[in-house]
Amino acid sequence: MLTRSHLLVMLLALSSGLTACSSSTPPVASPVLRFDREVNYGDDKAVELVTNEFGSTDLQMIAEKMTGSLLETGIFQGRPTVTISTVKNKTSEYIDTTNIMNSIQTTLVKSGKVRFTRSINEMQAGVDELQRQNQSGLYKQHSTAKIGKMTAAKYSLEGELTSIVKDNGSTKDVFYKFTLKMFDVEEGTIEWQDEKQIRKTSKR
Amino acid sequence: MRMFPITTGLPTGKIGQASLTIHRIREIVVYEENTRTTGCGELCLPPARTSRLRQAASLRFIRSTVILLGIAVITGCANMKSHDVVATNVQAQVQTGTVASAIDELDKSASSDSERAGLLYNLERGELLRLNKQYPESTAAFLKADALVNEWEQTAKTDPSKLLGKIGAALISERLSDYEGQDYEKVWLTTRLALNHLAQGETENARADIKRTHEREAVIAEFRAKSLAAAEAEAKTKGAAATGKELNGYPVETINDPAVLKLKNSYSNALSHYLAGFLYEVLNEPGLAAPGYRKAIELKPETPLLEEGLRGLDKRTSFTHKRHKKMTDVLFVVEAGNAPARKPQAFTIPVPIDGWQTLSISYPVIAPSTDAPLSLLAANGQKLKLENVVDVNVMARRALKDDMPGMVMRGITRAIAKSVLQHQLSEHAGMFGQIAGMAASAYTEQADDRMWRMLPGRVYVARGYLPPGAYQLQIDGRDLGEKINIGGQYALIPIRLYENKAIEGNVIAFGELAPPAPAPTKKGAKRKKATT
Repeated sequence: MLTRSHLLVMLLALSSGLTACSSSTPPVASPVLRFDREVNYGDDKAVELVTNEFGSTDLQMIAEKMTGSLLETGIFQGRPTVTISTVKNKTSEYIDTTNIMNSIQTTLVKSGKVRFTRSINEMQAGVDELQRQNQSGLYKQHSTAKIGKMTAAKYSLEGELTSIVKDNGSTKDVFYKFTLKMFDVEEGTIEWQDEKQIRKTSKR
Repeated sequence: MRMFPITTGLPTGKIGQASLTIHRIREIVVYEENTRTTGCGELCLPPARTSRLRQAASLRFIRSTVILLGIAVITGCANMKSHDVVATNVQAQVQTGTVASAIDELDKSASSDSERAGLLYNLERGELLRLNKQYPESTAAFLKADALVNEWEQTAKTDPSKLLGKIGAALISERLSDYEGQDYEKVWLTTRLALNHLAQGETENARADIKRTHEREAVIAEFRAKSLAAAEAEAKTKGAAATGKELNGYPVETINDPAVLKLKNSYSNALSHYLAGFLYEVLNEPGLAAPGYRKAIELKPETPLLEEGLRGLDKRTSFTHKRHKKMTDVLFVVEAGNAPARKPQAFTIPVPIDGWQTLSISYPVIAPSTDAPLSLLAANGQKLKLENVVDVNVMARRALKDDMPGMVMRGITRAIAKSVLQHQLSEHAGMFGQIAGMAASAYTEQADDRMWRMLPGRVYVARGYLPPGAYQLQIDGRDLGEKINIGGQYALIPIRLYENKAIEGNVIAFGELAPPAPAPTKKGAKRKKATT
């Protein structure tokens, strides 16, 4: 015999089935498990306004502006080599500036107009690998990458992120400025430069 | 009859909010008086019915009061015990016995599963295990505590009003409320986890802990801003005035001394941020190291060592510098003494019952540290200046200062509630009721003395370049015991000093120094000889 609780369980199962059909499809093909906490996939390009600290939207805005500006200049004739030098974080916030540069680099590499060499931060791993291949005695001699054959970069990208924070208790205003410069390594001249400014204000 | 609607919702805020509570309680007292004299509560009923209802209400009142007191006394047996007593005994064991015997002493204090799952027990235990170099066990204890702080964090982010309500809910005794940890303890916890993970060689986990430290600080800052705003809004609506006279007799100089007032807040400490800077630097992430060093400077300005952390960052992280570095960049973290104790002290406070009466309320007091500061560390005679970056005593007093207004309000609320309760008990249950009420009231009126006591009292750092090798360390001329081996590109050496003991933690080494340049070949040597 069906009791009230049986009916309730059936109704719940039915409703969850219906809502599952109507909700947008998550970007995975596996079955979706849900527990007591509601978790949803969101639009990775959606404007994030949770707090006024540096967020995903700021990162995307900066990367978009810089890549757009770089590709418009026409400086990348003949697929020159570029390296990322330093990106200084001059704010008091823990912002992973490498992430900004990674986004810029990804778009530029995908454009096919430029070749990137190892950055300063990536160099140690490259040196370690070369030493492993050449000094460990583990590899066939003709198959190892030779030391001293790396291609040097013609241009180097240097950037910095600064911020000005004002807080009067009820209003917090944060102004970010990201500046990116591209130097000709040999000549030491600035061949391109742009900046992105962002202002975020929150009220309590 | 409605009983004491005095509960809850008392947010922390300015001292003067105590008058807001008094105002509210006065209304309740008046309500109680009216109910007693006229028999009219919210509705007026015929006299016979009113009498029956009053009798029933009296019985209900006595029953619920007895239950309430019973709960207070029974649970009090376990929860009213003084953490100060437990911690003092444990610390004595560390100083005179061994750290292992101190752990046994702590374990004796937690007899039930719920006590062993508690935040404070796991914080204390994790710290003792860390001192005993049982890093995996220490990490396990800290992770149990961390899960509880994570719950607090989630609530602070999603439903802060729930926590604000909890702050004011200690109607019987502050000691009976769940211990949520001081804000600075929550920050210390992830810093401790990072140090443990480093000692276990788990650099990536340590990085996650460091990241969580600054994320946790942001949650605390946001929550404190919200609670202050809520307190201010409530004070405004009730027309509360800030007088501060409720603190009369309290040694205010302990919480108002310049060192306490100079702190930016009660939860941020320069060590956590300097360590963040150091670890990000070690991991070759200068973009994240810079804000770590910068924040440390903001928290402890005019400290040359912290300033050098930021100033020299670009040079230290440059590829060329690392390739030619022949010496290890060593960071010594020297922790001395013990975190302070919260000692309960009784104060009399005037309250509005039958005119004005004075009631005794217990508040915690933290005495300033009298430990002599440390100044110099020597490694095989090479001298490095020790800089004091954190004073836990000052942080604890700042936390107490920030909590004091709420504590005053809750104390007055509690004293009045207990006083009215005693009054009712003596009326309805005679002398027995009065004595029972007085005994329960006195027993439960003890200030909350819980805090993470195994933490050090002060933390110093020293940093310098040392050639790889074995070193005998001295602090202010005192030998620290066995020699330690220093090597790698970077090294982190934690040291804990007790009065007569020095406990050197595992030396944590990162990376390898560039191999020495190959010796000149015979050909080259000949050529060199020819040219000279």
